Parts: sequence; structure tokens; C-alpha cells
Amino acid sequence: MVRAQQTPGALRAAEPSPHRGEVLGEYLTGDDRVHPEDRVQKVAGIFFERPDLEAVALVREDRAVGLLTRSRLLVKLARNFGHELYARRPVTRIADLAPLALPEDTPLAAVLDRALARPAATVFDDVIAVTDAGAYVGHASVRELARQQGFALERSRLEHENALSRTRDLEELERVRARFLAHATHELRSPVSAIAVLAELIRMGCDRESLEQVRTKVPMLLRASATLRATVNDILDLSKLEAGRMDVAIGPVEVAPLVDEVAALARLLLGEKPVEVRVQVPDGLVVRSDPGKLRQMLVNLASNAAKFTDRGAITIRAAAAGGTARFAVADTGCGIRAEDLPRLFVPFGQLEDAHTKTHAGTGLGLVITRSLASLLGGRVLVESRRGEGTTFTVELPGGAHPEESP
Amino acid sequence: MTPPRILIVDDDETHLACARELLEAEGYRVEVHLTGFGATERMIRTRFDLVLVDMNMPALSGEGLVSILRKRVHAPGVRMFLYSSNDEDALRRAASRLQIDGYVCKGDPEELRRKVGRALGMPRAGGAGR
Repeated sequence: MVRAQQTPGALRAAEPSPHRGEVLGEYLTGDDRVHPEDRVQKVAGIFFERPDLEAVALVREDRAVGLLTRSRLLVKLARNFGHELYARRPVTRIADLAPLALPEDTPLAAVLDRALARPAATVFDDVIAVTDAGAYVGHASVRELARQQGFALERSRLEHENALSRTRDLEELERVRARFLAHATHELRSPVSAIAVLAELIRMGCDRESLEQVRTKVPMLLRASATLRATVNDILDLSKLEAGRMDVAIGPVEVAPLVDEVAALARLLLGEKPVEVRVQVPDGLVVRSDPGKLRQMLVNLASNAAKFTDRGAITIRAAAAGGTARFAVADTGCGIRAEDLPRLFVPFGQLEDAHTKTHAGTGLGLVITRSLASLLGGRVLVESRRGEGTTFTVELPGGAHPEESP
Repeated sequence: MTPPRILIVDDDETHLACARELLEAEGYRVEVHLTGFGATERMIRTRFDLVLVDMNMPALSGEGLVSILRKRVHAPGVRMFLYSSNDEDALRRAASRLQIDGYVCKGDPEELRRKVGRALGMPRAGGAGR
């Protein structure tokens, strides 16, 4: 007996596999049939003509009444006088008249359990599949079923691994969210705290009737409010983008005035720093895009450049060719190390070494810029060299449309 | 009696100026330091009664600074508070992890006065705004 094979745990474990179609009917290896009254000789002829044939069912009026496997036939005929004894007899004389027959919708694992529970002599005999009404459908090789079961196990292992990796992705997402929340909390609460304390100090100044004490607080109060406003706007923009609620209004955009405005803002942010702001825009360039979003992206990139550039130049370029509009903001600032590039577009990923953190900012500008670009069907590219400078390029569909010049 | 000395370490100038003014109004002698670096030296040179340390500072975080102070500065009488805009739960956990005297949430002047006053045994002389 080989009952040890009867119900291997691993096969059992695969039973609840979610795959459709993992039932006996899906894995039939043949539906060859002979009549129970057919002579052994005739049936042997069929087997000899078809070397691939492993078994035939004995079928009378749709009912499978027996099974004859190639090995059983060979064993019977190879015996002394086997041929003489059986050749002219009906095939029922040598067939297995109580084969394992199961409904065609029996799950694979259950079929194997039943098949492998049989005595050693018949353990690998084909299993007959029948309809609910008991009609013969076909037969399936147990070896083939076991092989399929192996595939199913492999599939379920893969599925398990996929599920695990999805879980890991979700956990990573969860970590990113938690980090985002922690940063957002701090970035929001910090200016709020400052405003609350400044208000208290102003109150104290008023109590003392010290105009000087009040006067020194007002610029700080304005700065803290502006910081808070910017952070709130950025977080709300990002939420809107992530929720897919950001509206897009595409229309002709006159590029030169827009870029000039952005350049003026950059000059303002640069203050006294020896940095020249240059603009390179072809005359009369008009592109089709969302003017508000385009402005927001360029403002983000230009204010970043102004923040991180202490000397040299910031160049804002625009061009359109082949249906693509390109806007580049190039600076001669501190640059970004190659290994830090992936963190650029991470919320609050502002590269916090002692130098860069001295620059204000929500750390959301680039994330928003990239989201806006993809919202408009484009992308943001970055090229940078530590110590030499950085160029951000926004590529958008909707190249030059001079005919729509307003 | 000389007033207690307080050191505030914070990279944010606004918060630094605000806390300083609030605490000076309470009668303390207050010094400020704009980065985690050098704070240790300062504490070795001057004997402070209380140090307020911001959590989020570049390069050397408040937690990092506090652990260094704990190891390097043998000043048994010095009390240490975390002083930050972080979540209160996070502050409480960090303070207990670092085994320091406590924390103060930024943005609540009354809490700052109360906790500092209690830590330094200063009787509260009436309301705020002196």
C-alpha cells in the first residue's frame, strides 16, 4: 500500500485556492470510449494504433461501466496464454469494472485525495468524470492531475507572494503617510504656535503701552502668517491633486508676460544676493495649457532656484516644438547630489542638511509641480550637479499655437 | 537672589525671540542658541538651571543634542525640556525615552510659563504681562 501518499498536507493546503476551473472537468486527458461488449482484440488494436492512449472507458448508454488502462491491458495480454485467453472475450473480462468515477465539478484536490487513496495496483489509473446525471464525460490521468495540482500550488505560492508584496507596499505607503502627517503637523503647527505667542507678546506690549514691543512683533507676525498661508495652500493643493479634484482649464497662454512675471518674483526673492535673472522666450510664443497651473509650476521652480542660488544666474527658458512646450528653470546654485535626486519629489523631502534647511519652504513645491505637470499630461525633468547648479524642465503637450495668439 | 538662567536652543529665530521675550518677562535670565552645534560648549561654560531644546533642528536634532548633553555635560542641577511644535504625544514619548524633565508645546504661552515656573521653583507673581 502507498497510503502515505494519500493526503499529503501540501495538497490539502491548496484546496481553498481561489482559481476558477480547478475541477476535474477542466483537466480531462481524453474521452475515448469502447463498448463493454467489444472484444479485447479490438480494443488492443486501438491501443496499438494510438501509442499516446493511456486508457479507455467502457461506456454503455452514456454510463461508464469500466475502465481499461494500457498497463492493465498489457499485463493481461502478456501473461502466459493471455492472448489466447482474452483476445476473443468482451473487454469487460479484463477491465476494471469499478473505476473511480467522480462528478466533473469535483475540485482538483479532492479528486487527488480520492485517487491516491486507492490501492497501489490502481492508484495511478485514470479517474472518470461524469455529469451530475452520471453520464460519462471523459477521463483524466492522475499523474496529469498531480502535475496540475503542482502548478496550482505554485500559483497559490505566487499569489501568496504577490499578496505579501502588496502588503509590504501598503505598509510602505502607510509609513510615508505617517511621515507626511508628522511633517505636515509640524509645518502647520509651527507658524500657528508662532502666531499665538506673537499675539500674546503684542497683548503684553499693549498692556505696557510699549509701541516698540508691538512694532517689533508685527513683521514676525506677518512672516508667520505668510508661511502658514503658503503651507495650508500647498497641503490643500496636494490633497486636491491626489483626490483628482483639481480642475483644468486649457486655453492659449501668452508665454513672455508669464515668464517675465515669474522672473520678477524670483528677483524679489533673491533680494540682495548677486544673482542675475535671465529670460529666454521666443517673441510671441503662445502655447495651449492651463495658465494658472503653468504659472504655479514656474513660480515653484523659480522660487526654489532663488532659495538655493547664492551667486551666478537663474535662467528661465521657454520653447515649443513638435507639439511639446518646454519650460526650463536653470540655476547656478548648490546643486543636488545624484543620490538625493529620488527624494526630490517626496513630500517634505527638502534635503535637510545644515545648509539647505536654512531655506524656508514647505517642502511640497516640487511634489505639487510634478503632480500639476502630470495632470496636464506632461512631466518634470531634473538635471543637477552638486556645486554647479540645477535645471528643472517642465514638458507639456500643447506646443506653439501662433494662430491663437490673442 | 539671582534669577534662574535659561538656555533655549532652536533653529527658528521667531520661536527663539518669542520664547526669550516671554520668559524674560517672567524675570528669568535667558540666553539663546540657534543650532544644535555648540550648545554643549555653551552649557559647559555657563551653568544653566533649565535648557529648552527644540526637536526639529537640521543635522543635529533635539533628541540627538539631548543625548549628547546627557553624556557630556555633568551638570546634575540642570533641567531639560523639549520645546517643539510636534504632536504632544510624540513629545511626551520622546521626553520619557530621553529621561529628561519634560516637554513644553510651542504656541501655548501659559503652559510655558507654568511648566518653567514649576521646574525652577519660581512662585507665579500674578498674571502674565508684566
